[in-house]
Amino acid sequence: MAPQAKKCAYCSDTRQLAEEVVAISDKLHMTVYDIDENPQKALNYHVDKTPTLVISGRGVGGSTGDDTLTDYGVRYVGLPAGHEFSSFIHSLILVSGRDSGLNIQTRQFLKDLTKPIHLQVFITPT
Amino acid sequence: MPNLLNEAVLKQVKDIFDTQLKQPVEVLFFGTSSEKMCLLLGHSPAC
Repeated sequence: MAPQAKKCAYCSDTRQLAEEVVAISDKLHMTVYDIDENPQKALNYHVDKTPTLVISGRGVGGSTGDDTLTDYGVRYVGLPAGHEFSSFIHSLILVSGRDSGLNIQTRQFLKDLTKPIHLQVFITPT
Repeated sequence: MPNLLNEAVLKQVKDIFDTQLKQPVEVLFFGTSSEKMCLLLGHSPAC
């Protein structure tokens, strides 16, 4: 992977960061995919940018073709560094709890949405 | 290869995980060997 990682400037750091975080707890696991070698897997998770981290629940049931994974739509595109690191950790905790923490009113509001909404959060390290 | 996270951060995160992680989580990392698809968060799209 090393020669290929050089072409994606932050792939190596993102992978290493994720590996270091995952190694902290036995409740966290990580799988690595090269989207060029696994295009169908990338398509299944709607991944078209790299590096991307998909945070999914394990052992709950499949929504993407994986028998043991449930995709909650949580994605990090790029390196979750700086303030985004705490958001990354928080996302792991939320998925682990299988609950967003949203109140009933908010859930009902979201349930009543009639059109798809694509949320993207853009940040800058500075 | 040196760690990206220092010992203090590792300990803090471990303490958080020990108390707050409930069910297993899978992190899927997607990387690429293709330059044109590389995106740098917070930086220009060029790699």
